Amino acid sequence: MSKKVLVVDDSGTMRKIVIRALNASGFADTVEAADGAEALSVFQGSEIGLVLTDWNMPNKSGLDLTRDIRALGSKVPIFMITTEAEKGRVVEAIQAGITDYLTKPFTQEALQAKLEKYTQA
Amino acid sequence: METTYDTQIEQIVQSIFATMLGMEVVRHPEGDVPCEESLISTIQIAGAQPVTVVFGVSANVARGGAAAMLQIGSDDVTKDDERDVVAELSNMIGGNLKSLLPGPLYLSLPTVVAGKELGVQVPGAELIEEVTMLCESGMFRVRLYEQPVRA
Repeated sequence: MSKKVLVVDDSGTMRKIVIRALNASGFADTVEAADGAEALSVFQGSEIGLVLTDWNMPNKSGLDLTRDIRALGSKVPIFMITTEAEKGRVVEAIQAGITDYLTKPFTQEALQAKLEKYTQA
Repeated sequence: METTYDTQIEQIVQSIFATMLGMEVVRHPEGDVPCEESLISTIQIAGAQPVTVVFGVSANVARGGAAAMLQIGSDDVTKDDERDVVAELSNMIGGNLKSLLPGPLYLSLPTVVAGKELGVQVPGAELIEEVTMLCESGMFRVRLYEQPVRA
């Protein structure tokens, strides 16, 4: 799997859990960022094929990161992993340009099942 | 004390611990007994009816929870791991509680403090729920404070 995946979360623990699932799904090439601002900088400096991001983070949220990436004209898949579960928030995220959504808590299996579609893309 | 969110807190915590840590959680059989809290994470739910969620755990629960969530041995858990895991668990508790409350509401980032004989005060707020629970690593407590709504 040559696709580089950007994992964005202010929790190092969550980044480790997500990267573990990515590795198990065949994504070996990952890069991390601890907030949306750092992620945007990484995104602009690398060829990223998939973004997995939290919503609530310091400096720049996952929602604003998504808007900024779309404003750059990128169609990269953006997968949001968050505790924001209300319908209105999900709609807001979709309108901002996210591709997929998973609410916390989640099982490793649920995350890997979601990632499957991107291994084939 | 009224028990408006009592059962919901219990179910949310049980779901989070089972899913993310693979740990079973039960209510403490003696109710809301005193609980040693070495790490306390607070998170605010802002909106028409502001709520503060306080998640307090013992050192053992912090270490055991971090080991389970990171799938590493407890000897390999660092203090940063403990704080990060406690923060993330409180984030999930707050986020899941938020979806039960009338919105629109916004979740703050968690704030974690570590120490001995920690106390919690949320100025101007009333303690509306206190749930003491047990997992394989020990006791922990979830408290909910509600700010009075200004007319």
